Amino acid sequence: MSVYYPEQRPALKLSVIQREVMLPEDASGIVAVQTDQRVDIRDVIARGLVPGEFVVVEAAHYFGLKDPDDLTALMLVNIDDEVDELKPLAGLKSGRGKRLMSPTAGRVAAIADGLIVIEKLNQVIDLEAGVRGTVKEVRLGRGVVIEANGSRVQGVWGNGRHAIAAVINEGANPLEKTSSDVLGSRFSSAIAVVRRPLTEEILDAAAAQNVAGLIAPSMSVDLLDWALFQPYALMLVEGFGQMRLNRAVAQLLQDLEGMQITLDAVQPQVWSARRPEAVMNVQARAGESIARSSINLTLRVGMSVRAVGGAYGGMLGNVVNLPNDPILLDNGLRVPCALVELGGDAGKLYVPLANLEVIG
Amino acid sequence: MSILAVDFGSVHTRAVLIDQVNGVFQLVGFARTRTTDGFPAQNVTVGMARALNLLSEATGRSFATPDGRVISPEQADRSGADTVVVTASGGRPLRAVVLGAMPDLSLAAALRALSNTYVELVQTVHLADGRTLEQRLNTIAHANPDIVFIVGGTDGGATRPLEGLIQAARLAVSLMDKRRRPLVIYAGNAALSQSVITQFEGVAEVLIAANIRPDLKREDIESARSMLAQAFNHYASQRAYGFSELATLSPSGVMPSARGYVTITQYLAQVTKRRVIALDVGSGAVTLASASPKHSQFAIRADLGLGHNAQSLLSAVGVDAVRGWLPFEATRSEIRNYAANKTLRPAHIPADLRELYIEHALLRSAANHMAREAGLGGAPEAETLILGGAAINDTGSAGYSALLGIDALGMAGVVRLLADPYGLTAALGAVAASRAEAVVQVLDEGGYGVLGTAVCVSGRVRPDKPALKVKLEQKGAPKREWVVNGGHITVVPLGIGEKAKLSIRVLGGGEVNGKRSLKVEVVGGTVGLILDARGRPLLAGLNTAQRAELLPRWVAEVTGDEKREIPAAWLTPLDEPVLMSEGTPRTGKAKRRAGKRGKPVAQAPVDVSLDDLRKG
Repeated sequence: MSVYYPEQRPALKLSVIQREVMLPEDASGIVAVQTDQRVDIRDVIARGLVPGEFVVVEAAHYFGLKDPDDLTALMLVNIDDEVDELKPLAGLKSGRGKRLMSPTAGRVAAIADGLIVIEKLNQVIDLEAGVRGTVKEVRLGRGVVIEANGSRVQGVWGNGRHAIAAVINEGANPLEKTSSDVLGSRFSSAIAVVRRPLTEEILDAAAAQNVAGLIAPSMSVDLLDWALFQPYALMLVEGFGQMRLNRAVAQLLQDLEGMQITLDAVQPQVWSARRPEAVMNVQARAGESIARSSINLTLRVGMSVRAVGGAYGGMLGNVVNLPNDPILLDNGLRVPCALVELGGDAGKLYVPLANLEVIG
Repeated sequence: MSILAVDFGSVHTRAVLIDQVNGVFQLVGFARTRTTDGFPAQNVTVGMARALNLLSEATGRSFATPDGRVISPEQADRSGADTVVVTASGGRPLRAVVLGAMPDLSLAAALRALSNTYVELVQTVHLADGRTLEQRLNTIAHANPDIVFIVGGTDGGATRPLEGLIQAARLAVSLMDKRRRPLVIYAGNAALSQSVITQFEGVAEVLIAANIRPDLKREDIESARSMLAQAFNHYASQRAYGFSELATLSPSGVMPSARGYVTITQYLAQVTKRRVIALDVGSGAVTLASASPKHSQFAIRADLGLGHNAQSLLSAVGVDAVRGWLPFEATRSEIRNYAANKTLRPAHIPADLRELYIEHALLRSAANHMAREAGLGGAPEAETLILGGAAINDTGSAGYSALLGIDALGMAGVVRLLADPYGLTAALGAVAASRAEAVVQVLDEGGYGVLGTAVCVSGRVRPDKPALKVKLEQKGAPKREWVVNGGHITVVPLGIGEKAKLSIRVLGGGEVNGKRSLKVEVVGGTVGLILDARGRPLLAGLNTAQRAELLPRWVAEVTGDEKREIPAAWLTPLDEPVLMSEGTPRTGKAKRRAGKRGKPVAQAPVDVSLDDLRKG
């Protein structure tokens, strides 16, 4: 078999994390940090504005001007001036005669063609670093790439929210059965980890207990709208359906119990490379090696992998053979495969190379 | 004179080497690897380097220097290539806002021009839309377009109505962040061209094309298409992930892959004097081209696909259309989960029988949908069908791929089947302008993978009763005869390049190419001769039980593999899950909870003024 570069979706206790922190697509922004600058978790690394609604004021018409250029002499505000509702926009500077008042509070965005365009107040976004590290790359007006050492779990789907809080694993007491008192439940303001597929009941219980975030293996796509609507950050690790949390991720999140992590539950966009992830700064102990995602990682015998899809979805295993020729699967497809020793009763199975992910 | 063509799809990066062998251009080598715009590389040039390495292994020639630069022109040691062309179908499509005078004239022509490239139409604005200037301005500015495409008016006609639209566009564009302003393409009344250039000076870059509708009877979309191709290259080179480096590799920049489908189908239609159809079902786009000697149709849907756009595809075709191709009962959730997971992991290969049937049902539904939109009808006839895209070509069985291609469009009549697993169509389309002889010679020399020829009976056939009788005559071989029963497929071995004369007789109520009896000459291929007596329009059964019988049987008949029976338990109707939250209005407690945490994160002190931000 020729060299194969497998999909990588890290779940690592200690690795070099290159984290993209970007403003939303529709926001215009300014990056507030520079390359090689050290940043802390809560540092604002970029500020953005989501454009507000534009209101058009037909000023020349209001004053009965035949030539729109004549409006210039009447203007009482300039472009970029902030105006309050009913503040005068134009009129004679002597104060006599008609005055044109602003119909809304906002910013004067344009004065052209006898029109005044006011942009209503826009939403301000402060983008936090989410991780302690060094700025490796600045993307003008969009955000930065930060490099840090730490734990990282990449997921597959997020509901577009963000949280920084301590990890609390569900354990024996299911989240939806946990009682709250006046001080809230043990999941209050924490990032809860459940190992089962999400249900509507769990989503609602998480909201009721005021969790900051929720990490889960999977949920039905039927719950998608409801998940997007939840006030907390939600990340799925496996996908849509009824998959359980794989043991590597489960163990890693167990090891992080009580520690503060950043859950960046970005909602994957069709044409964006950003993935949802949970990250936490960890310092290497003496002699401890730090893994780094390699661009040129190739699939090799002995490698630990996660199988995706079908009956083996989410199971972990080791590659035991990489046949040269495509393998005929039970479903009739003949595709390049790896023979993978999966845990439990699954035994050895041929899994299409495209359905393998390297997590470590 | 060698040509290296690299095509960047959403999932695969393909490299093709075309070179002269004994003075004739031929496909010499090809390679394919994963596109690397995602984690961890996030740079498409990484995938290109891998593809070029594989091509080196296949051809014994090197195409890149050790530091990764593509070698051009070809060197004395035969490394490199004289011409390098780059095409792309992957990545985010261009976001377009179209402004036109009238929806059924100029705007309709504009949409036809847009159908030639990878465009997501985000908004349309026209004189009859009832919007005020303020509404138009907000519509355009908040759509975040990459291009604003303005059309309308006939040459010599009134200019005033269009001037209002141009004003709205200019104002809207001027309100957008300077770093992210769209390209403006004007293809309207020629009398306003200079005015458009003047008005947008200092506001946005403008490309002027010939009027798309010079008079009421004429449509001229080629000039606009050319400008759209320029816009595609403009944005390809502006994208992250290494596309800017790619744009410098070729004088023509990065061209849309789909251009090749127009060129190749039109060329083959001229040569064969018959209709030629090409279908490419990719991860992020579906392309359908149909050309006859006098007429050609072309459509790209950059929002439909079997990977990145699987969810959007399912929304477009609907769950019931997909169920119509499933040989088992499936809940809406199962189908929707599969599509959603494909969007998350576009390269995923169906892992079991259920996933496989859902994947192929999505594929067939997508092609049906495109065929309907293109007005091809339920059982199109063509001399040739070219099949592109991994979903069709990566089955590992030429027979299976041929079946998917035939079923996807419900092909009828006698049709030659060609496979394009390595993106040859995109490559040829990109070199056509500069090396037309290369296109002709590569096609003549059999650049495509030839699957064979299918003879497909149209009309109603009686199940399990003789429906098609074919006598096959080959030089130096005894005559052979086959009778195929209604609802069945028979594959006759006929190797690559082998020719045969067929005497076709249709029994019962059907026909082939409109005739009950005909003689044709056919060529073989990796599959051979496919005798398809299933009737048209193709029906995969009226219910699940029928499909459970028919679909596995057709696969078995065409591949020669054993029939994979559908377990009886899969035919039991399933209950659809009911959600408490379905239809729940977003009010009350839930809304309050959302409001509590849905606010932007708290502001931290930082040395950036909001005024700076607002002023861009």
